[in-house]
Amino acid sequence: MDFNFSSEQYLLRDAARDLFSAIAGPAGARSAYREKSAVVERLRGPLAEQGMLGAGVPEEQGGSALSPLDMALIFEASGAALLPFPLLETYVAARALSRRPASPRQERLGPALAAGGETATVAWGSPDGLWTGAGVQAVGSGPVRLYGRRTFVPYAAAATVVVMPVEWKQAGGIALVLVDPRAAGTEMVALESLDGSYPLYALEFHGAVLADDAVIGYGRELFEEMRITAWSALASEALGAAEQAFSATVEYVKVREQFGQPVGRFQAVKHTAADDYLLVESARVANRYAAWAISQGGAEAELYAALAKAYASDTARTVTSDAIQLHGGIGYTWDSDMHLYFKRGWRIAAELGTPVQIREKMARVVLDGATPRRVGAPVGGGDA
Amino acid sequence: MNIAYTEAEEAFRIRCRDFLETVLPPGWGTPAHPVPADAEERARVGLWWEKTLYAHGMAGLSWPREYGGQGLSWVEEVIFAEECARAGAPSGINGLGKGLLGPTLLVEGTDEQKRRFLPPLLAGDEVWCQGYSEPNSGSDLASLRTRAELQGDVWVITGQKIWTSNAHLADWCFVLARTDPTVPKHRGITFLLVPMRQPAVKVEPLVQLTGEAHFNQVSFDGARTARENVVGQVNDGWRVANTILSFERGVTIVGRYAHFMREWEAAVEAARTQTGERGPLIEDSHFRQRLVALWSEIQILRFHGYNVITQLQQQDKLGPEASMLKLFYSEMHKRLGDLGMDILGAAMPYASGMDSVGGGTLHRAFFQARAETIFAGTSQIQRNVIAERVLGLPRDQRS
Repeated sequence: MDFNFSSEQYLLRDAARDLFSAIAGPAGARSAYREKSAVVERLRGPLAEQGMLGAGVPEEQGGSALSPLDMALIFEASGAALLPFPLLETYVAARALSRRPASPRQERLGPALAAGGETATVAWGSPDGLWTGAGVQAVGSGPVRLYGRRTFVPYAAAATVVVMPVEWKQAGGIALVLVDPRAAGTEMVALESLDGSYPLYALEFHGAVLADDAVIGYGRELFEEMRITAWSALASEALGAAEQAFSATVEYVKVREQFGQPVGRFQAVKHTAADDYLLVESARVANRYAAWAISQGGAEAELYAALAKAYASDTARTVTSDAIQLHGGIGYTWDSDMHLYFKRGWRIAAELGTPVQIREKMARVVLDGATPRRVGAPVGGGDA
Repeated sequence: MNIAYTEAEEAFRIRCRDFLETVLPPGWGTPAHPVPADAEERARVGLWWEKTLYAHGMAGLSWPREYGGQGLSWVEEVIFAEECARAGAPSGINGLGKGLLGPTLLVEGTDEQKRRFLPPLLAGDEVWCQGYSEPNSGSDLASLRTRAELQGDVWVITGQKIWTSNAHLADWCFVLARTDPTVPKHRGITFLLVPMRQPAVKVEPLVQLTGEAHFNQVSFDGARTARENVVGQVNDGWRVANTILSFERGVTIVGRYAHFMREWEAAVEAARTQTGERGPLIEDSHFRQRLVALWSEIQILRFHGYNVITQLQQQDKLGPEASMLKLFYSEMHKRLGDLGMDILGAAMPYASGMDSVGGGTLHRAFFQARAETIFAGTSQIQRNVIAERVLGLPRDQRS
């Protein structure tokens, strides 16, 4: 029994943590609130240099093909550092690209993503919040054209390529495709993002041509596999943000004095902190098990990724809310960093399904006995 | 990371299952063969279980062979606890002896004490109870006032203990008593082993809110025990008592997720039969949400267990964070118990509803959970422990 990460995985985490705190942290997140996607340009170089952008790219294309298990601690670090960059989207997109025999364009894309020459994002949003193909239709032939609207496309202004599921009747219902957000017939609309370190855009398609080599795969399987990977990664980011806000809060209540003593001496404060600690440590083991289950490629992966996403989301919501509360009035100011974690935590919790929506999906397996989905063999190996 | 047991451990699990299948009556743990409602009958079953475990070499799995144990590791203890929970095996009557006293003696006892007390404890020949809490010393246990004085070669003990489970059946009691009232309260306590079957020990049953008398008030009115029946040094009993709390709060909890899963399944079953305005409750989003949330928490208890096993294997000890497990499981169990009652709905107030829905499992869980957030350190004390010892928040002004 070894329910822990390897020392190599912890070393990777340490390197990521050092890098992210140097280039991001609360100050970096604040600059994204001001500059939106422009901040991505500054971060791309250092992230590529340290190999972070090739994590989902196969080794023969210049990447490092890290498994979701390897990435779990790295996404914890990016969540903790409020990294204003589509690192998660790049990883998930690159991994999806590597799952199919690739077109020449896709083969060029892998190395370009790893080197930072191109930046990928994922169009997560469908109207129901659960990331289906709904909202954008692929129609016609020679050429196939796209019509419709996707919201919730993070960092679109900094992206050269967007991975997106579309409805495509002639192709069996649904397909995962690559689109150029600046192509003719495509309109990009900047939206106001609650989490300003995660600028959101809508993409509107008025007959944009879908290139012949733009299809990553047909059918639900591939993009649902992406969702499982993304659930686990988002759970890690949520945990990282929660843990960072929590430890800042614990340090604060040790020094903030009222009634002639540190407020952390009062049991009302202690008990909230203890309950939050329990949530953080419980989300940690839930995430760990989910990342393991995905890397094993078993039928349980979807269920446990869902568990981790829902639980870590609830944890992030509660813990970052308590962080503001325990900071008192100062916690409600723009100058306090707590709102940065709070907004990130709640944003992640709503992304790819709220905890309530995800538990509804889980209920179909644990209460109604639906068979959990089997995930294909992972790209980057698994155990270690 | 590798969440797997070794081949030898898996073989041991098979052995546990075979053992349980052999010794438990057919249908045990199902509504067809419920846990005896009668407290005396349950005690009889509890004693039978201890003797059965011993006879089949399943008692004291991690204890040294020379004291009647099996010389295995904590991992086997956890696997066996898990299989017992899965099979709904009865609780033995010597749980406190095995969970608290035995591990303490193994660390703090003399060779003579280990040889004298451990084998009959494991064999179920001597039943133990725990004399810690007093009417005025609950969470503030170190304020205890039961006195022990050395008169010649004999300790003479006077005072009151309370919440003493199985005292009416016990042969021995491990007692915390004040031996020096002149020093700060933590420094004047001694850990004593006291025979229960003497005229100066009186046991009065205390009826708990379930209507059963599982625990007692015990008065020591000049009760006697031999001078050598001190564990550790005189006046060092507080430290000795705290050696084992981490065991109580850590390892024994790990196997319980399987027990909670059984209760959760009973709740799901009840939700299939109970109906609301829109049909079976199992189709109602409110109940689906709560059932899935609790399923998730029970799974998380399982994952915490993997963490505990990993720590025990790699470091052979648990840190203060083990106290979080007690808080986690007991508060979760309370929510599970409440959910069961909400599913029973209008049938909840009827004790007879216990037979028709969930076989009484849901009511038992509901009541049991009330005790769990109090015994072995209340949830409030657990939160203090986490805040102070794990998070490093300043101690409050307790004297």
